[in-house]
Amino acid sequence: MYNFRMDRPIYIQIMELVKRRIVRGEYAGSLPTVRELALELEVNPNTVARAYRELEREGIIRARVGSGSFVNEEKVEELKKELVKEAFEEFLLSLKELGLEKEKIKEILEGLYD
Amino acid sequence: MNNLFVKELRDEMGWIIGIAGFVLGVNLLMYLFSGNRFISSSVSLAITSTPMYLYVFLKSIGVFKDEWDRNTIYTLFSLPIRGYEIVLTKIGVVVLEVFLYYTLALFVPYILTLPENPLGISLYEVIKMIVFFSMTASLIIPFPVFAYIVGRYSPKLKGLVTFGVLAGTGILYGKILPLLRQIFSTVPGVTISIHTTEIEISKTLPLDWFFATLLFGLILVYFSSLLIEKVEV
Amino acid sequence: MIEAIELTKIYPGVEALSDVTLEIKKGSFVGLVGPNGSGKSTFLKLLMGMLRPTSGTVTIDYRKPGWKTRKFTAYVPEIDTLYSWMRVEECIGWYSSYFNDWNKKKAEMLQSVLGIKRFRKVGELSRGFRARLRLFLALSRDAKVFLLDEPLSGIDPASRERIEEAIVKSLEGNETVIFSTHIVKEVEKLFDSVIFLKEGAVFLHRDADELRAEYGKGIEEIFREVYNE
Repeated sequence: MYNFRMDRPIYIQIMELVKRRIVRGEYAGSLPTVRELALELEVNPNTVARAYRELEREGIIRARVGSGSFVNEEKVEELKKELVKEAFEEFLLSLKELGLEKEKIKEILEGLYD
Repeated sequence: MNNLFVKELRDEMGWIIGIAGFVLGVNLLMYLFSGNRFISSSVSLAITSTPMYLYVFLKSIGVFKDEWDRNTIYTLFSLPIRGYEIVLTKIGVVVLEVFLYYTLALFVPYILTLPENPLGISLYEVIKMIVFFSMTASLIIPFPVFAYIVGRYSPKLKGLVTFGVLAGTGILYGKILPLLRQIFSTVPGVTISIHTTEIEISKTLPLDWFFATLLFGLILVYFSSLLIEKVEV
Repeated sequence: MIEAIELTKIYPGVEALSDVTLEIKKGSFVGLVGPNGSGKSTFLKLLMGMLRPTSGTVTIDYRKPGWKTRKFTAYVPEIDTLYSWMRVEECIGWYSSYFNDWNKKKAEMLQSVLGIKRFRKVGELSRGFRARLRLFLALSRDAKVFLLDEPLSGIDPASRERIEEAIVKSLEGNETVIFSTHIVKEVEKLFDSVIFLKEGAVFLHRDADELRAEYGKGIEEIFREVYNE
């Protein structure tokens, strides 16, 4: 059972989930079918299908007629960078929201480094 | 369609058992208490049973009304079935109840008094009587069925509309009957004979009015089948 | 798949649906939402041919609703509509015999998910179990269209969970589903699109994810805003 947020499009949340799993290597073989993933996430298969279509548009996955969808290995490195960057940006954003000076943050981080 | 008939049958099983119990019970009581006048009392009870006509009339409405009252009409109308299937199976079950009544009412005394057979009736005559009286009583059925279904089309005052349609079709029937009877004027009547050493009765009942009414009834059934497909829940 | 053009339904004194014009594409899971009395049940009954339009038209697969369209349309009413004297097993056998699209495998799966009690009489079941049975009878079919009228309303939480699970597990994605409800929470994730009905008229008809993207709110929150004016 996966908890989605209702204030953001679900298909986008599914795309993010799939990207994370690809980066973690969970979809090294082939991706689950639309129906399989829908059952696991307890959502409408149409929403999963939409997520897959968008991922295909982004070139992250490739659909092969009859044999399901596969991860586009060439794009995985790029994907890793993208997700780390996103996570990092979120982190930076939460730090900036503290309203502290850049120097103060650096000082605290260096202290925490150990 | 027989699936539906079986369901109608089981739906009515309480009443069917009730009728059987009632007739058998009355027969038993009369057998025990009226002695040698048993069979004539029994037979005349069966033949002149106005209550049965009233029962048939009310039942014909009841089998439809119940579906609406219990909300099971929704189940019926979610099935891909034709109007005539609903109408015919329901009429069929009421006809069955009628036949059951007359069969038990006439057959049981016949069996019980078989050794003496005071009225000298043959089995063949009994069967003729059963069939004739059952079918005659069944002729009532299309009228309330048609009236009730039409009544359901009216958003308010359904009872009033049903009554009005009933009266209307009754009047129409009365007017058309002579005409229809002419169509069947050549049909021979049915003869019921009773022989004993003392009496010889042979009554011939004309069948032209029977078939005329049957024809009128079938027309009502046809329109009922059409109407029930378009009626609202 | 489903089209309504200026569909109006008036009961004595009440206008249940006013000039409803909408189109539902094949294969979409539509949430038909609105408070009680907004016309949701009326719309579904019109789609089943159980009610006749006062004016306007409604078609399902380009046909007027009637006995023919019931061959491929599965309906789950909100009220108790089954014959209470039937045993559950008999009810299933009888009901399924009318449909060529009855799917035995689906039925088996749903029977266990919904906890269908085969040997009780329908009349002896609790309200929640009667609701589960009604849903079972519809979802076990490979129907083209599913019309679910408030399948979760007034049902105990355990039954609600089972019903939600059953719906999720029976979806292939190509069915057209209209899910009418006034409780949007938890089921909104299943909606491809949402139709908001207000006093018998279509207030809003949008793709669910588009609504979320545009307003940054879930359907439930939008629902509260729309109906609390």
